[in-house]
Amino acid sequence: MAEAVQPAAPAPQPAPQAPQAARARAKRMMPKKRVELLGGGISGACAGLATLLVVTLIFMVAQHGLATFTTDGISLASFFGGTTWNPHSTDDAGAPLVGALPMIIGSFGVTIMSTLFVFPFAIGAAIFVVEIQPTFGRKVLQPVIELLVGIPSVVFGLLGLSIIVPFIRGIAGGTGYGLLAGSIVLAVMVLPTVTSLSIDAIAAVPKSYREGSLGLGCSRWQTIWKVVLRSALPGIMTALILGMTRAFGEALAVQMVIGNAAVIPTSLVTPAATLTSVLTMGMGNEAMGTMYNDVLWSLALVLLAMSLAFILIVHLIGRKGAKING
Amino acid sequence: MEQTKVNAPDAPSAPVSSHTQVAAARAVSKEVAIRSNGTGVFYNTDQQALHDVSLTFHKGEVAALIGPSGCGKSTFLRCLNLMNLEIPHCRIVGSIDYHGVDIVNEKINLFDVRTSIGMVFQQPNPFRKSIYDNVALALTRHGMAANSTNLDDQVEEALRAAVLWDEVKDDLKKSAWALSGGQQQRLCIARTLALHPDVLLMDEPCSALDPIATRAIEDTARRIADTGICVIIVTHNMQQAARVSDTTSFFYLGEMVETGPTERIFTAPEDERLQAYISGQFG
Amino acid sequence: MANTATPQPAPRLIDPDAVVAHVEKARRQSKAATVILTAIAGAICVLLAAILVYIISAGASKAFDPAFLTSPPQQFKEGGGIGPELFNSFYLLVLTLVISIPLSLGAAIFLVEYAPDNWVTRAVKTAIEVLSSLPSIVVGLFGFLLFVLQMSWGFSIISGALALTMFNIPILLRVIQQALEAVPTDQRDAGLALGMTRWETTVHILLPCAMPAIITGVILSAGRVFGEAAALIYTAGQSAPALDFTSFDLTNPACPWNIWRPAETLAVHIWKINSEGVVPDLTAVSDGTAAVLVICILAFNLIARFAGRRLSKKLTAE
Repeated sequence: MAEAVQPAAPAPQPAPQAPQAARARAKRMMPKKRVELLGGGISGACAGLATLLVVTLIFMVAQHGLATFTTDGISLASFFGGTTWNPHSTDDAGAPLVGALPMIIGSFGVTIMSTLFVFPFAIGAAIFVVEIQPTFGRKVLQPVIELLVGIPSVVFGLLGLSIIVPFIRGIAGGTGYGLLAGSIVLAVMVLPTVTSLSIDAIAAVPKSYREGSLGLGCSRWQTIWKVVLRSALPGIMTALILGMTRAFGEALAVQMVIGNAAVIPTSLVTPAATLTSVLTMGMGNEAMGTMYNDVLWSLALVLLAMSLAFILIVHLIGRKGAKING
Repeated sequence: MEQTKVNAPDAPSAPVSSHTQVAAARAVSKEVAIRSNGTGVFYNTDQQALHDVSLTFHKGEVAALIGPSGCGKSTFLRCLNLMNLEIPHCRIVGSIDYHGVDIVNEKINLFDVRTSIGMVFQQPNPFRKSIYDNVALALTRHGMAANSTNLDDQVEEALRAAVLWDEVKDDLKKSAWALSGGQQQRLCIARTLALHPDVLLMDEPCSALDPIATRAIEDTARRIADTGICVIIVTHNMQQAARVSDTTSFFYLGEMVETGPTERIFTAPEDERLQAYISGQFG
Repeated sequence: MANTATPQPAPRLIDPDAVVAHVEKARRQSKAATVILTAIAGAICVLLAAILVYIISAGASKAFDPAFLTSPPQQFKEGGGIGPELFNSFYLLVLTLVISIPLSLGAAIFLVEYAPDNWVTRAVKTAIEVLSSLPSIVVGLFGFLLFVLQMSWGFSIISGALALTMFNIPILLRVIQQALEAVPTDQRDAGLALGMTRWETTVHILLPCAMPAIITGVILSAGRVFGEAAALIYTAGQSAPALDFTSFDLTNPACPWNIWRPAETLAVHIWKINSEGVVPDLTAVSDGTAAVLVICILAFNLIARFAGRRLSKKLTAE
């Protein structure tokens, strides 16, 4: 026993030390330190690769997106403030018509409207799952919501084309394409995301809060409204923002029902366009390096910047929520 | 000490491993197993959880560490096999001498140290695998089994050493999570013993168990010590310390207050904090 | 509350009738809220059921027609099928999973087990978060830039698979990370205390415990990948050359296994024929394709549920 363990002293030899006769290694194994180094290295490399891809993505999109302003000499004001999108022609002064405002309005329009549509349903369903009928909620409603997440966006677009657009056309006249059709399709699409995140937020409220409120004689609704929802508010806000992120970035489903007319929308039921729909339609038609192509990349950069901004908002809410709930 | 083995009641299981070593350990009773020198623990660089503990543990002995909750006894125990290093921003100071090597400051093979200084946790934590795999996993990973028969033998030997073999020998392929709490804890002891440690750390091993299971663990601890292993057991249960240990050390507010033979600690405590603790003035 | 109604000899500070009225009001409110919430929950269930029934019934005649499922698509006449698209969808899915599972697994293990608490780790976490919130069209455009143009792989299966990998990594990473973190810490401690490395502990103890959740998550993510179109239209392309299943020449554009050929998937097909609008039986074909797509995704969901449960039993010897 005297020579029990000889913790491998500085000795650099890779062979494991046989600590004692009875424990002589029967099989040659890779030394533990090397296993650990290898494990950390491999897994770190995977994480590094993923990070590298993201950094490359941001760098490359920014590089192409900024070319509009650097090489093509288009001013920020005419891009963000211009109301006419027709990159193939120029205005009277000879400057290209690359106003992105119609698409920016379109993107924000469908995002905000779909969020307004989805908000009551998502919160209602989340309260129902957590507070009213947990068994039915977890056994039926949650699987249903998970299934909705899985339905591909083109299928939603197709449904929009074959149901919602004709429906709007029947009521409001016109073509039926437009912001309204786009927001309804998006609302159905982001409903599962917002609902399941809201469920998490509401379920995370400690049980003692509810017991405290019910113990004071409050009704179930009072408890939900004044205690649970208040405490879950940061989480619910996060859910909404993440839903907006998804709505803002959705391309194909919106493109199929919005009508694709890059003009400032005058009503909810006339054709419009979003950043994503113009990108989807245009990118295939233009050669790299042309001015039109560069402007499309600028639209992509705006999309990228917005999704970064949404993340930032989520983080700010998280920090504030941590403060509120101690 | 040497006599305990002789009058141990007829053990149903075979005598534990490596007879020659056991004999050798007995011959040189009081051989030092592990010794701490001014060991302390810092969290987040400035919060000191443990101050300057110097203790010596011998082979073939059961040493108890007692004290109220939060006194640092578990923290100290987790220093001995360097499990504290797994906690972020935790730093061990001082030195711990283990077979002539300072495991705190010298460059050591952490994995070999943990193989020969086993640990049993507060909550029984068998792996979510079969009983057999629970014991066999570490043996296989450390390349300690030459072939599958040899592995079977080692698993059986370990289960016998933890006095569990007779209860589980027919269900080795069943899930370890189906065992009772006491059996799970003995399985955890078995998988540690399978690696032939010479120090076994037990962190309140009975706090989640009923009295009968507790008794079984205590007997097992005693029996393991009798094979020449140094057993260090953390407990907040003074009766347990009195029943099972040879030496007892009392911890209070992150310091080691008093240490000595168990009988002396409980009958003639010197420090007044220990007196107060033993008389039940705080817990 | 009831005792407020019993008259007290002491001077009455509160009007018992008002209290009763208030409680009544609260009770009515509570009941009304319950009804409304139940109606919302019911509406969502009905909505999903209606969507599924509509899609499948609209496309049923095509979706269960073997000729439709095997024949190649037609550009300008009726009767086109989705044979190559169906194959391409599965081929792309498998390739994507083969690339993205090991990568996400590695990255998740790094984040859960190895990541030191410093700025490098924070940078990695932020990057993953950014990736998860990126619109898939942006990911697709990046794939177009990097794989199609920069690497000059053209519109090809490999470009598509790599773009889908980027789309899939954050989903998988989150699933695996949550599954690993859900394993009780005492399992990890036990492994480390037995002298095993973090790697061994993770591979032999934590991963088996987490495997059912991981498998479920992988299959669900497979459903997402299977239906993704925006990331593919500029990477895997929008054309489906006729496939010759007898060819094993990996450079032949007709060889199904050739990863350098363009490959339109089911989801892209739906989008393309609708935006071009030249196929005469457009509605029938796209309804049929949608039905096939949704049936496949339903199957993924069901498999995910059962596989997780079965695997859990097997791995834990319970």
